[in-house]
Amino acid sequence: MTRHAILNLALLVLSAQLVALTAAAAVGRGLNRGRVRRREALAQRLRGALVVLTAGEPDEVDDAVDTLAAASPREWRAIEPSVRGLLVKVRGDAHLALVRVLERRGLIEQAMANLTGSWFATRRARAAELLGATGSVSSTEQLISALRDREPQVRVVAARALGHIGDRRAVEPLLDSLALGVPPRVVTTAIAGIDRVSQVALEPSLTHQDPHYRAIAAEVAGLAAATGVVPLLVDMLKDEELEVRIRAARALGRCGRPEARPGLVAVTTPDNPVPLRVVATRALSMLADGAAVPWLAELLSDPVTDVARLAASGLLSCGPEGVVIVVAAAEDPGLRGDVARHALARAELSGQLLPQLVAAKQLGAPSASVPDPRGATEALPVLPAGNLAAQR
Amino acid sequence: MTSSKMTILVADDDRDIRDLVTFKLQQAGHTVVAVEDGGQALAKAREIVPDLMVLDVMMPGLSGMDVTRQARADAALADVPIILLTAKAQEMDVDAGFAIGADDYITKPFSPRELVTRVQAVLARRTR
Repeated sequence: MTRHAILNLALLVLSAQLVALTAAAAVGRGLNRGRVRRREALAQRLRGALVVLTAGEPDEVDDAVDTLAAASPREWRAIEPSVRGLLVKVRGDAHLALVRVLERRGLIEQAMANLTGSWFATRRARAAELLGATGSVSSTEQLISALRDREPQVRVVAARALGHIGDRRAVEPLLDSLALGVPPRVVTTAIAGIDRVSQVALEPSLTHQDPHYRAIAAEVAGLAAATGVVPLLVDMLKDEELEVRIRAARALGRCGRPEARPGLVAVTTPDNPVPLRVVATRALSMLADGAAVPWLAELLSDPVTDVARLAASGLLSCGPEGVVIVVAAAEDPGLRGDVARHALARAELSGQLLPQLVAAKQLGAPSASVPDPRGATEALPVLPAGNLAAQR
Repeated sequence: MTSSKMTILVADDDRDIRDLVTFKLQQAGHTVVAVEDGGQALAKAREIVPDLMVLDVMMPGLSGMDVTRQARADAALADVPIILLTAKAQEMDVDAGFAIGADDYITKPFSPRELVTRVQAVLARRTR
C-alpha cells in the first residue's frame, strides 16, 4: 500500500469517527431534551399542588400535602428540586407545609439516618442541607455531631445548616469547629444567624487564647449587636493582634453604644495602623453620637482619604452640628473640601440631606455655605463636573 | 386594605417563586402579569403601566435594582409603586433599594401571606 493510500485511509477513518461523534452528540442531546421534557411533564402535574401547598388557604393545603405525599417516586424526583428550592425561600405556613410533605414521605427521618450512617459524603452533606432547610431544632444534635465529620465539606454544610436552624446550643460547637477547619466566614455567618446569641456563649471566645477565636467572636458580637459585651470589645481594641483589633472596632460600630466612643477615638489617631483607623472611623460614624463631632471634624482633614471620607459621612449622620461643619468644609480648596463635597453629593443622592440642611439652617450656619433646602442641588458648593443631580 | 382590583407586574427568574407570587396575588383579587427577567419587566411595564411591580433583585440581564432605577427615570412609570423581593438581607442592600426609589423591600425567606399584606399596604398608601 502506497503512502498516499495510507493517508487517504487514515483521513477516511478520521472523518467516519467525526461523523459518528457528531451523531452521538446529537442523539445524546436529543435524549437529554426528551428526559428534561418528560421530567417537566411529570413535574407539571404536581406544580399546581405545590403552589396551593405554599400559597393556598389553610383548607386547601391538606389536599395538596396528600397529593405531594402520594406522588410516585418518578414524579417526586421531578418535583423535588422545586420543593427543596422553595424550602429556603419561604417561611411561615408555606414553610411548615413543605416540611409536612417531607415528613410524610419519610425524607427527614431518612436524612437523619444518612447524616450519621451513610458512607457517602455527598449523601451526608445533602442530608445536612435538608435538615438545615427544615429549620427543625430536633436535628441540632445530629448536626453538631456532623461538625466533626471526616469530610471537610460535610462539616461546612453542617455549620451552615446549624446557622439556618438558629438553635443557641450550636454557638460553642460552631466556634470549636474552627479548629476542625471550618472556614471562619462560614462560622461567623452561621452564628450570626442565631437569634439572641447569648453573652455567656460569646465571652469565653472573646477572651480565648487563640486570636482566631477572638476575631470571630468579635465579628459575631457585632453582627448580633451583642451590646452586653461592649466593654470586652473596647478592651479588645488593645489586643496584640491587629485582626482582632479591627474586628472589635467594626463590632463596636455595629453595636452602636456611645460608651465605645473614647476607645474608638483612641485608635483613630495617626499612630495606629491605617486599616484600623479606617474601620474605627467608620465605627465612630455608625455611633451617630453628637459627642463624636469634634473628633470627626478633626479627622475630616486627615491625609488618609478613606479616613477623611468616613469622617465626613459620619458628621452628616451626627445631625445638624455635623452638617454645618461639612458644608463649611466644602468651600475649602484642598482635599478637605473635595471630601466634604463628595459626602454632601452622596447624601443628597440618597435623599438624606434635605432634612439635615433644614435643621442646619435653623442652627444659624452661614447662609452662604449652607445650600438652600428648597433647591439643595443648585446651591451645593462646586460639585464635580458630572453633577450627580444632573445625572438623574 | 384596598379592595379594588389592581394590575400587578411580577418579575422573577425562579419559576416556583413566580408561580407562588402570581397565585397569591390573584387569590387576593388582582390581575397579575408575570415575566421572567428584568428586560421583559421593563418592556411589559412600559406597555401596560401596572398599578404595582414586584421585582426580584437578582435576575439575569437587568436586575430588579436596574429596573427600579429605569422606571423612576421614566415619566410614565415614575409613580408606579415597586416592591423588591430578594435573598439579599443585608442592611446596605435594603438602603440601596430605598435610595433608588423602591417603596418596600421583602427578603427571602418570605411569607406569601406577608407579601400580600405588604402589597395591599403599598397600594393603599398610593391611592390615599
